[in-house]
Amino acid sequence: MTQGFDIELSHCRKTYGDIDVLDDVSLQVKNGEFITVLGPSGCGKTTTLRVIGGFIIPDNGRVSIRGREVTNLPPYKRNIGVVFQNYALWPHMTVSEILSFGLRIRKLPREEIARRVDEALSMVQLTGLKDRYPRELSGGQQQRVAMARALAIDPEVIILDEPLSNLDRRLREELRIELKRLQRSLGVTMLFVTHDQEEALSMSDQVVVMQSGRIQQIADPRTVYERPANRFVAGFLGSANFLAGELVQNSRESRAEIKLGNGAVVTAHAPSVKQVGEKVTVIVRPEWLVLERQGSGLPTNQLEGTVGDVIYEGSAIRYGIKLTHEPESPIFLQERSNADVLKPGDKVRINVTNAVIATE
Amino acid sequence: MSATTISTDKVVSSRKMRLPLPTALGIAAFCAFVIVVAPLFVVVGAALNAEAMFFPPKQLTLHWMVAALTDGSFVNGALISFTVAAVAATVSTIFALPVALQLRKAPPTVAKILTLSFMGPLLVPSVIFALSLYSVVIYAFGVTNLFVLVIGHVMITMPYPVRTITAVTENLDPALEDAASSVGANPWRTFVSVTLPLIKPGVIAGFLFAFITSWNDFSISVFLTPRELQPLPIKIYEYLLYQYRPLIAAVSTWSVIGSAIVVLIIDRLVGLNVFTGRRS
Repeated sequence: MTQGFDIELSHCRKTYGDIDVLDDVSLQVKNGEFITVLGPSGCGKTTTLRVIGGFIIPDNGRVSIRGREVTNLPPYKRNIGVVFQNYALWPHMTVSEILSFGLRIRKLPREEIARRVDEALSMVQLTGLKDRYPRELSGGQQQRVAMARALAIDPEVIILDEPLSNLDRRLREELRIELKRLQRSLGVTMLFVTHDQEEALSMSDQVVVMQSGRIQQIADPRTVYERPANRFVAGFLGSANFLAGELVQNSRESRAEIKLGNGAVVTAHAPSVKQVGEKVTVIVRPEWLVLERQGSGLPTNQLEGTVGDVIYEGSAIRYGIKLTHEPESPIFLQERSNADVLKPGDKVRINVTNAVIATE
Repeated sequence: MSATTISTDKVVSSRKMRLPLPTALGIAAFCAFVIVVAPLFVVVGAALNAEAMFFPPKQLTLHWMVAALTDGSFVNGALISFTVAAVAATVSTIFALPVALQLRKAPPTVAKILTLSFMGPLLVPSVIFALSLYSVVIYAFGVTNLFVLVIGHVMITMPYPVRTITAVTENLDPALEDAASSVGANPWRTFVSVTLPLIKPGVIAGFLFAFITSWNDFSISVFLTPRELQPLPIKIYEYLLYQYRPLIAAVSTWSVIGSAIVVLIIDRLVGLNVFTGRRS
């Protein structure tokens, strides 16, 4: 039954004192998949990784790697490559000693060890730095060595704990692309823990969003961004406006019309069936709102308001707009900055091109 | 040209500004240094006297320094001291290792209390400690021997390696050991290949402290030493009971030199292969 998944957690629970660090966490990762566990600090993402790695034994639940149950096995009896946040390179060993350590434990022949060390080094483009000590390497090089160490043991899966968070922005973006390319070319299953939503969206096949020890949503990057399951997911990945309203009509399949407080009606995606008359929250991302410069008078999906804040962000411009007859805080709208710039106080008409009903 | 002159002036004046005026801290440090080092000068000075012991010496000679090295009784005492110190320091370091490693895993408050209790032997007056140990030994075995003396020395020297090893393990990132485990190293392999090399400075320093403490110990030895196998400090004491000659200062001087050499050698060893990996 567990066959077919490289990593499978079912109903894992871990409690420290009164705190549920993991609250009924279940997830499955297919072979060759890149899965990201995303969430704010303290959400349980690192604990999830440590449970998979065997550094923490869950109070309840099962952990399987490639169909083999490993729940109570120590890390050295699993075959999992781990990349640590601060790299955890042994300071008293050279790069080649670090990479060959796991292979020497496996008692491989010398030539085999040398070949695999070279192979791992060329995968991360570090050939020629074999005899350096970790302190003689830059942050980016140390990160690559940590990656190569995990690859060298030919693991069943690789788990990475915020491996890019200690690097500066440019290097981080570079390594992100490189890591993804490496993962795809080797076809190795990776589970990547991060608090950086950009990393999660740009690299993953699947994103697991966590908060307070619980999984909030598991889906591909597009779905978590465009169809966030709830307010938390919508707010954590990118920015979002939340509009309160009442469901007035279930129109087509999984779409519904919602009447907002100020009387405007918008159509929104409804992931679950709601009753007419139910109070709902509508999630609208700033770029789903489009300024209607011509002023076409469509009956639905139109909002009116006054420009408040104008925030220049380089490639984009963001407006805080106070909606007419809507007492809530302003909603934000984003458009490319090459359009005509509005001034505070301008009256605007907005077209809502996309909206989602939050499930809770 | 004039510009150069001006800049030279500036350099000169700034140099004058940097004249090291003694600060209160500097004076205090100097006084402390004098107090610590003065006894060494007195001992060495006394050893160089020609006739009776005086400080400063009246007539200089190396006669006593040579005599100290050829005196069979003292050489014998030094050998016994060395053996006892080497065995006791080794045993106490080996005992201290698991203690320190386990303390690191204990909850912080428990660890704090336990660390303090391992300092216990330093808090009990050593004469009282030695007397109690002596009573127990006599009661249990009816006799004291070298083995018992070593046990006593292990007990009083253990706080040092416990302290120094705990200090280095506090700075040891647990992820380094997790990483070893992740590539397949069992706990023993992880200890030998990762933990031990990284805590080596603390282990060596602890051994060193234990060795010197044992080498110089008097109060434990005076109770537990068997008649025929007296360590150096007891020999010195017994000699002083009957005679008062520069020979004894010369023996002490050699002892100080020996300790200093041990410190230097081990410091050199530690400096050569351990710090290369540790300081980043």
